[in-house]
Amino acid sequence: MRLEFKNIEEIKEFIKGNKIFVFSCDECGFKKVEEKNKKILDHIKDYELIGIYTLYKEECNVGNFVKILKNLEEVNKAETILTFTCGGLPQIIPNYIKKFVIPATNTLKIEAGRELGSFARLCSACGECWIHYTGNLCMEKLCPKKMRNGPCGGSEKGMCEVYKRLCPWVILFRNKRISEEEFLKIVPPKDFSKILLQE
Amino acid sequence: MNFEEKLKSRKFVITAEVSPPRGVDVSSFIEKTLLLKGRVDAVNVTDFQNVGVRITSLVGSYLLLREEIEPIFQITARDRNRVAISGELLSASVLGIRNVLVLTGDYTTTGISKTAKPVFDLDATNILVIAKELEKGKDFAGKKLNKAPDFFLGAVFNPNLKPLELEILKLKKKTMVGAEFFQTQLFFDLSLMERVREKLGEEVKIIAGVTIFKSLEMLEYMLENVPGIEIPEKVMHLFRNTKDIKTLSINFSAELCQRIKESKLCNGVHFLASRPLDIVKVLDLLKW
Repeated sequence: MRLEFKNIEEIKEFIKGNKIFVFSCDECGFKKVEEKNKKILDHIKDYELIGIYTLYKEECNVGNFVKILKNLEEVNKAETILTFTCGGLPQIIPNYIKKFVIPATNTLKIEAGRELGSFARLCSACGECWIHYTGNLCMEKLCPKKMRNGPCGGSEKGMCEVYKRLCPWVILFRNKRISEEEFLKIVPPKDFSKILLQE
Repeated sequence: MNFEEKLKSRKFVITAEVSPPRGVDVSSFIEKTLLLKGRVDAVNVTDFQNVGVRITSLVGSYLLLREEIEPIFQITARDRNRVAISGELLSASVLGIRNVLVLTGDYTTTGISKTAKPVFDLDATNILVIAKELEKGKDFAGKKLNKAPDFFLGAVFNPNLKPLELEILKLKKKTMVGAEFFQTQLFFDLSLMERVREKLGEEVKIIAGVTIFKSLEMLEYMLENVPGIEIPEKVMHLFRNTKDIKTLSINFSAELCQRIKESKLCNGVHFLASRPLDIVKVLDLLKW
């Protein structure tokens, strides 16, 4: 597992309010958490930190996560949740907490074959996490054309032209996961150098 | 008056698409397309339509330009990355091609060359972004151009898409990044366009996709295989129960074109997948 912190300027416009709750993790056992969390605190020093929770590989599954959330009252006081994990967790959280959840990291590499936390399966390790543009649905995973600015126009009755399932953009729109204004934000082309330079 | 001037002066335009040849003999391609000269305002040249190997849209467009037929050069995101797309756009400009229709493109597995690797480095919206940057004199990497190109950029719109509101928002997004005209997928229900106009107003230039069915097989094929097409049961019934499908197709298409023009909901008609000879017959019937 290889992550990098996003430049805070990149996600500033998505952060609502000043009160932040942070989810960190041990990167499937690859990272010393004390060191990582110290860096996180420095990274978000312009915001008010409501709390931080570090998820370990063993806890990284829905069953455990739901239990953790029950005892994590301070998270409700936050206006925005930042995740310093792979792209799996920020896809999961909105199912349980109605808050703005923004990935504060880019996942550069997930080494297949290693023992991983359960949520890592959801992350494409695409190098430039952009799920905060798409209501925390990962188009890298769900859209065969990896459309960045809306559906491709090939769907029929909402079904994807490639796979026999609903177009993720249709899900996004029907479930009102983002506003019209958010939809109209232009998502620029992806920077592929980030993953191409990973050995 | 060229295609752009005609559209911008709110005149009703006629466009048609042709496919470049599969192979290096271009004589029939030119000969057939020449039938459209003087009858339509511009001719779209498809870009590896149905994921099939053909002469490129760029060369096809240039061949038409040499015959003094105004081309609309189509470019998709499926087969080229941002470097190749930028290069093709610059090359088009050098050859005197100004009209560009930008598409994301059908997925490889939905067409002929199923074994090919799909690119999709960009989507249609980001092709428009990159084309606009070129017009400002620099490429996506920030490198300065010795001279900037100038395009008339268009994109596609599919009125069949559900939910339509999402497709309308997508159209809006494409206008924000520089699309000045839209050509639509084939559709039969004009009330869809009423909904579009309610949301977007009169200003957006939308050219309605129509076709002339060659045979019942073509109709069934399109319904089965072309992504994003919907043909109402009423229309299917009409075509399944005729003895003379060729005449019916010409009459049906002419009638639809007439209705589109009279409705004032669209800025023109765009003949998709139709033979030039048939297009001329329809236009003759309409006295256009």
